[in-house]
Amino acid sequence: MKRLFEDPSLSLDLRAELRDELQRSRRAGEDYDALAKLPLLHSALSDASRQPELRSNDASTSPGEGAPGAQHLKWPPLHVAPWTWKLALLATIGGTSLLAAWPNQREREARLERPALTQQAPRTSATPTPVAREVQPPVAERSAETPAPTQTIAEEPARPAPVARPVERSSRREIAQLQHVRALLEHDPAAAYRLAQRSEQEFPRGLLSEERHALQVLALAKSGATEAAARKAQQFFARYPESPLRERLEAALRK
Amino acid sequence: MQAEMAVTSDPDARVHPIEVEVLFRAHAPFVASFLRHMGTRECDLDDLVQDVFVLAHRKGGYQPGPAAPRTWLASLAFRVVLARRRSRARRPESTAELERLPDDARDPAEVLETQRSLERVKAALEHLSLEHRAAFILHEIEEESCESIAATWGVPIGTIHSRLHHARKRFLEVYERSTARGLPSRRGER
Repeated sequence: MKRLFEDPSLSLDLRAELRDELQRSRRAGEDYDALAKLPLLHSALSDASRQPELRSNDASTSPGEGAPGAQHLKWPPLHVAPWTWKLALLATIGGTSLLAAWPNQREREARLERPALTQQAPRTSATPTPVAREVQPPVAERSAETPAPTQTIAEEPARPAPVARPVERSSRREIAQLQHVRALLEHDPAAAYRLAQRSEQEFPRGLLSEERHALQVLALAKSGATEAAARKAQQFFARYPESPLRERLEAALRK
Repeated sequence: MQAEMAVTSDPDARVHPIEVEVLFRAHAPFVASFLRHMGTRECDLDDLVQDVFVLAHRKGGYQPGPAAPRTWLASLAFRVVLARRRSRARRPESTAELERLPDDARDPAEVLETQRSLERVKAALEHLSLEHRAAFILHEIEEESCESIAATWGVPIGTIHSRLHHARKRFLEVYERSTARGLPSRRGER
């Protein structure tokens, strides 16, 4: 069957437009970095191996679909290689490029590394933590409440801790949001501020709260809302009195 | 692509199903595209892509047959979308949509234009039923053959032709109407 843009009943202009439009739409849709997302898949598979049903559990029992493979309902064993978590760690830390302009980058990286390293805590025979889709509080906070146990299961040393997936996902999302805020800051500070606000609502106790707050001050200052920027800056200075970002914010407010 | 070759040229493929990681490396961008065109929000995309491949894993991986790996994955993605719609109907989500992040490695103008195309096409696709939308995406956008789509969905090829016929008619109506208004259209920019 010929495709729509080959339909001779349509005008040549429309056919050309549809061909280009659908091709561009496909390119935009396929803008997805499979390699970078691979650690997320490993976590998802690891979670799935501990849960009897898929999170979207209706999906596996859709009626009337004769897809090949449906008859192969075995669960092949998972082999999560040790390098998987190194890759996951790198993927998480890779987001620190958004902090490149900030001073004391090492402190920031160390701050981001801590939860990722916590994820490498060995699994235990204690009751596993149920995995929720919603955003989880940072691992650092939860690990303070429930110290990492030390007993390990010898046959599964490379598998991630049960808490790894939501934390890793939310961290990556938070990092991506702040990258976007920084990208918008120069040309559309109002949009940068709005996005930072939305990010704050989503991650009220996120790993990057300090940076996000500072970006909000910069966005307000750049958009000319000097009074609001000053108020936001005062809140920032009160909340983060030792912040290395202080000088930069003060300089921005003086402009 | 190396992973893609592994999918199509493994002589032992009939004995050993294609494992999910190989599928993911080769076809995750396709699955993401399919999900986006099916109306998945950016903030849900990672979750749903993973759900598709977890489901593929639970099915034992791809078994070579009349359906291509991509259309088989699309059928799983279709089920995941249906399941997500049901769960969302039960428990509406309040998370605000996050704009897609620009790809810094490409020309911003090109990124913007492809993004606008995606939005225009998605807007028109929203007026189609899910079955018609899936057929349209696979054939018109992803260039899959009707035979493969029919084999994957387990329906006669005439059914796919019929779905495509209705999908095209509705898509054109909505697309032309939207471009005539000039709001999100390329014509309006000329």
